[in-house]
Amino acid sequence: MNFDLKSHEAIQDPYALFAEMRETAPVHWNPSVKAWVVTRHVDAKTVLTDTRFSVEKLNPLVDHLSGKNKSKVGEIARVLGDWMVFRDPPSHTRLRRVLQGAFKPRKLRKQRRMVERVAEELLDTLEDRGQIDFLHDFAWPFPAFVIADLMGIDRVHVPKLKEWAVEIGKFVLIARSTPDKYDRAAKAIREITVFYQEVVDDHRRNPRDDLIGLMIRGGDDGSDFMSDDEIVSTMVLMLFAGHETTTNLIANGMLNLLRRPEQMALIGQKPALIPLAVEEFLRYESSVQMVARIAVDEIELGGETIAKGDRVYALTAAANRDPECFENAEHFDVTRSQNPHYAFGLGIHLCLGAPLARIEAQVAFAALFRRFSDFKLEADTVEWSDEFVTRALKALPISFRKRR
Amino acid sequence: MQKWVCLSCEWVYDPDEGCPEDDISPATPFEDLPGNWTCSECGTPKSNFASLEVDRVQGLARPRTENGNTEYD
Repeated sequence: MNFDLKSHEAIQDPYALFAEMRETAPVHWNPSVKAWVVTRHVDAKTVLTDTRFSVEKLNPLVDHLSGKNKSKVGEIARVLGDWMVFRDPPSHTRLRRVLQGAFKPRKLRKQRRMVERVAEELLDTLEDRGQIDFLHDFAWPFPAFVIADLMGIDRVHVPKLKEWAVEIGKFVLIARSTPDKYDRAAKAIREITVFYQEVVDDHRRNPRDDLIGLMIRGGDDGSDFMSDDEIVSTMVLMLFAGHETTTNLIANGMLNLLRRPEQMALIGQKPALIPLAVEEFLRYESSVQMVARIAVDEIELGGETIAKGDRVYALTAAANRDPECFENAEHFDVTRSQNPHYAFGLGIHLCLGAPLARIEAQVAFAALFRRFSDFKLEADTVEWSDEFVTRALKALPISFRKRR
Repeated sequence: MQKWVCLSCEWVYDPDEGCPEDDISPATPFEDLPGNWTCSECGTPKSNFASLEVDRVQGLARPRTENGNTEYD
């Protein structure tokens, strides 16, 4: 078996490879990524929920490296190691509990008006252009402005934060062809840490009722202390996890509608379908294609024996097209009502920002369909970014007409 | 009363308890929840819930939707 997940062909279109892996080697050791690869829905669920699969994978990576890379990655790991997504209980539980209340659907419903305002403001600037790069002109700034507003960070800083996020992403998202990715990520981590520490200091001097204020207070009831290092690290995580993934959710959703005018028309005729359509965007072209874990014990899975210490990749994007779980799994259907996808993971590490991402995507498409029509893809082909953890377009040129 | 499970995050709606967080009082059947109600944990639409009465296949709840069909039939 030689499934090269990092080949250019697989990055551009991984789904045929996913299907072949699901059918012939649903759990296998994959030399191209030096990890066990898990592709079926049922097995992905085990990886996501069984506590024998740990998320604390940075230290093993540091241990595995040597020389200069070891010290650079060690520097990165000291900051990213405080991300709750890289922590097992009990520290994961404490870090998550601080923010959990703020991301509950009920709390976010109160923020919906703010999210709608951000979308409308952006579309105001685009409506007369008729032709835009949907990715860079809308899908990118929209969630960036939302998360900046929620965190209480002035939007003027967003472009710089984006630069840092891209550089850190080269490390986290396993960029295929960035040989100096450790240097670049380490430099970005140093700079963003200084920036965020100043924001935290300012919040301490001038307390505010935003996400940073919530972390400083230690959660709603003040019972979960977070150190400044943990707060700064969580801010990096929120920008990283709360922005790019939503950008890709919105852009990938739009691409799949552009490729299927009949599905686009269904939403145009019945905007009430938008929440279901967003679930289908999440399933069919997931922003996050896989999750990584470390086996902390010897584990039998899918007829294979995973050794203690082995790295395991659950390809949730492959699980999301598993025909054992989804009827017409390769068919994109915005009316699909039962949609148990793993785009946000599952279990204790289920994406904290899932309710916010859903609201953002729903608000974005509601505003787009209300204000514009005749969306068209203005390119023969699209190109995907050189990462296999996320599914990210490089650009999405479209045209549209303003509704009268 | 019938419990329902979220197919996105597996949070369970128990009608006996309702959902005080969402101002849903105890003894409210799932069918009576507003159409725009979403999962209290992850925000997925109401339609992405399934009744817990049916067997679990491969660890996944696969049961009856509101119109009585089984999920993956």
